[in-house]
Amino acid sequence: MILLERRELLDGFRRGDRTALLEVYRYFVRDVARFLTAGFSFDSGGQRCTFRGFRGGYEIEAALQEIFRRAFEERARLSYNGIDPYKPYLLRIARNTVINDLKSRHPILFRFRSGGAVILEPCRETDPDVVVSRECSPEEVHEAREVAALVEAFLSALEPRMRALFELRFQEGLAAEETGKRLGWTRAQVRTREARLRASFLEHMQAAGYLTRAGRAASIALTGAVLALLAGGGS
Amino acid sequence: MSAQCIGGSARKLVDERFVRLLDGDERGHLEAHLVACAACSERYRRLQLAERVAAVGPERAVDEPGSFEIERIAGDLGLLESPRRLRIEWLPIGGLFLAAATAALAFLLLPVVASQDEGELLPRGAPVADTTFAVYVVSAAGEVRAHRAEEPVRAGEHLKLRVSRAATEGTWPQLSAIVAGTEPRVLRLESPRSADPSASVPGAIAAGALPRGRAALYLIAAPELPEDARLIDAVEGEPAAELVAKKLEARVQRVELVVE
Repeated sequence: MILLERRELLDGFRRGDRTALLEVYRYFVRDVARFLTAGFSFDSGGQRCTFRGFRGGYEIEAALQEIFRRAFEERARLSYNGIDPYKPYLLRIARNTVINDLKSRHPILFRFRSGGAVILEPCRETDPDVVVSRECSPEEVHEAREVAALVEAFLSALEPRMRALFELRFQEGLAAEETGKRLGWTRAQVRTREARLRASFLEHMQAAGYLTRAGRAASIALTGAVLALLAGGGS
Repeated sequence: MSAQCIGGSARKLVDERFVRLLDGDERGHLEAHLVACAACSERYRRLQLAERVAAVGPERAVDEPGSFEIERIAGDLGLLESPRRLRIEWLPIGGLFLAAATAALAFLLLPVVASQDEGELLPRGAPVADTTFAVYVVSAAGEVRAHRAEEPVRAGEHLKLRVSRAATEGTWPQLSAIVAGTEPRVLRLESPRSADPSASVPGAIAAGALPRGRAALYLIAAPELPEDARLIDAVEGEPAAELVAKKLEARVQRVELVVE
């Protein structure tokens, strides 16, 4: 509702002010991410179909970037009426972007998914308003919990101020300047220490073997991606 | 998995993506590699999951990005300050490096500081000059499959390319393919005529035009391509794509082929 509640933000958004765009992006990005991960149903070629959502990895980041890029193009910004809530408008852009890419013979967003071209499965739902939620598989839950244990092991080994840095930046998402104020550091010091912290975190996950072991993740991605091409698609 | 993955530049880029904001060139290289490399894609997924779990906990990590991921994507969009590149070059002073017998400095360093332009909102695959290729194999019967390095290209098949560029660009760059090896060849490609940011490259590369066995195919995009001799020279020894890109001042993707 921020664009409806703050006229100056709406004006800045319409002008394409970077600060305004950034604020709008930060406000809505999680909603769009959840929408893209959950998937949705739509009609195509006379069939009701379900897109089961993006998997993790680069493809979701590429999709988010592409959707916001389109949403922030001048035509899209100026087409938003500023009267109705922005979220449904944005999610429609997301939906159309995904559908168009799914139907393309040479998809752009989905080329990061292994297993070849992305395809769709026939929808078993009859209610057009039902959005199929993506439920986590037991293996995904197990993997996330395993990673959580590795994260906790990393955190427990940090000295208190670095742990505080981790919590403020990673978890609370505070800006570097605000983090610095709380820890008594300059912004530059926060950035430098943060870079070291990130590198240490990466090394920790590498040393724990998580990044390089063979695992179920690849097979899940492939299994989920191989479905049937729709007739009538292509661009 | 290519040589770039085994502790090479591509894997380093994957890791670097989670440590700092990459610039447009680096993102272009990373993206091009992730399209083709399942191992690095999986590594990326795991790093992203680890980062998300650290940020939002295991229950929310599947569908909620963490703050760093959100910031990363904001950087991709050009919404943040561009990462400034600090280049330090050693310059001779009057042809000589100044040396001090007792001082800590053995030479005089003159820093050359350059910063990237703060551009417009950046489309995916930024910067504006970015171009990426997708490679498909088409069988004699017309069946299309995405090219994979471990799957051979057979006689009678041909390669089709699809090229993507930044939507803000008005014209397509010049395109070329260079087959490296003992008898390197340059294949001049026709640029698409479409105004869309993603289009098929006219024509195809027949398997018959490629040497049998393993081959490295370099896909080049540049505002203006040099003569064939310089292109061939750039791929001598089959260097990493980044090195070829630097030599030619072009966008370069390397494709590993096995031709039967």
